[in-house]
Order: sequence, then structure tokens, then C-alpha cells
Amino acid sequence: MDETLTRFAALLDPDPLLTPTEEQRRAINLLPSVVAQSHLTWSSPSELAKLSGDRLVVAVAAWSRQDLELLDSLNRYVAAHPGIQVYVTDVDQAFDQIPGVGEVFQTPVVGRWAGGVLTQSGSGYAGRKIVTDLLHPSRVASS
Amino acid sequence: MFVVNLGGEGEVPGALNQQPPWFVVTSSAVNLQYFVRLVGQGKDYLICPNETVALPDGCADVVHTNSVPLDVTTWRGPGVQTSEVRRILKSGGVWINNGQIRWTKP
Repeated sequence: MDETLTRFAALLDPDPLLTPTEEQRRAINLLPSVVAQSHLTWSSPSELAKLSGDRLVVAVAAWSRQDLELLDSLNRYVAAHPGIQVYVTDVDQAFDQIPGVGEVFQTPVVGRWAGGVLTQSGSGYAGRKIVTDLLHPSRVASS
Repeated sequence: MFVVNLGGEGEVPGALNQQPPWFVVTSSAVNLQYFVRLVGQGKDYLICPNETVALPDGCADVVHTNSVPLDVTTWRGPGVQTSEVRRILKSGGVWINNGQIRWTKP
């Protein structure tokens, strides 16, 4: 693995000087800047509607280690496949900004656009499956 | 040993799994089917608000939290309150957050 790649999950690594609550606040505050240093692109919720082109939008919770590990997987994938545009945003402000998802109970909230059309969207398990299908297309083809 | 899992990702074996009321009141059919299946498998659930966990003071040996919002309000309402974690733990009880012991109650 490329050690120079950002490691999102490290945002929630335990810090003996912080409480878990403080660690989560730190992760929430730092996530946009860590995304900016990665192969992904940060988008504020107000900018989501202005995006165009083929893209994957992933609204994550910085307090969720699973969501941050998903960003790590996506970051590695985009580093190897630079043609895909992945936007990351804060689920707390953007949970209702991706069409077709319905009521959101779990994170992440994910939308995938191709040819100018929203082709897939979902939250929780369904949202993760959209991402993992992108990361492992051979599994989808053989299933 | 009394183990409590305050929401979050997955269920903890042998634990009483707490979820806030929206989990069963406003949840989708898919979520409810999942919930019913887990109950059918013998998983124990406690449905109560995160702010007022319906357990007495000092009753738990272990409290787990896994990828849950702590002391913040999200689009789903108040997250897990660490004051409640500290309240329900008994003396010597431990709080395990994301798989690591983070606090032992004096």
C-alpha cells in the first residue's frame, strides 16, 4: 500500500490526551482538510446541487470508523483509477441532498451519477454496496 | 456479567443492545425485518432514548459503543451521552469504544 496515502480512519485513533467525545469533534473538524490532502474532493452540502459530470458523492459521518475506512478504500481506488470523481461531504448537513434515498437511518449516504443521470443511490448498507460494487466490479459481474 | 451495547455498528454477542425509539417507531420495513430477525435469533434489545437510558445507576460491567455519535446531536437526534455511559457502569466497570477500553469507573 502507498504509505503516502491519507489514512482517514486515523482521524479516530485513540489519543490518550483526549476523550472519545473530543476525538470525534477533532475528526469532524479535520475531515475537510484531510479530504483536501487526498485523491477525493470535499464538497459543502450547498455545493452538491451544482456538481455535474460522472461522479460519486459520499456523505459520511466523521464519528463512524466504518465510514472513514470506506473513505480509505475509496482513496486507494481513486489513486489507482484517476478518471473517477469522488466528492465527500458531511452527512449531518447533507443527509437529504441525494435524491432517491428516502429516510436516512444509517450512514453513509451515497449517490452515483453517470451520463448526467443519477444511476444509484442509497444509505447504510445500500450506500456501502454502491461503493464496494465500484471498488470490486468483478464481484458484481460474477454475482 | 452484564454487558450493554449502546447502539452503533453491529450487535455485541451476549449484550443488551440499546437503540433509540426511532429505530422501531419510524424505521423502514427493511430495518424492521432486520430487527425482528435479530430478536428471533435471541438478541436482547432495550428501546429507549439515548439521553435517558432506561437502566439503573451502576448496573453494567461493560458498556460498548461502536461508531456512534457521542455527546452530539445528529440529523437523527441526540447521540449517545457519555454521562449515561458513566452513570450505568458499576464501580470497576469499563467503557469500550470502538473495541478499546477507554475508561474504567473508579
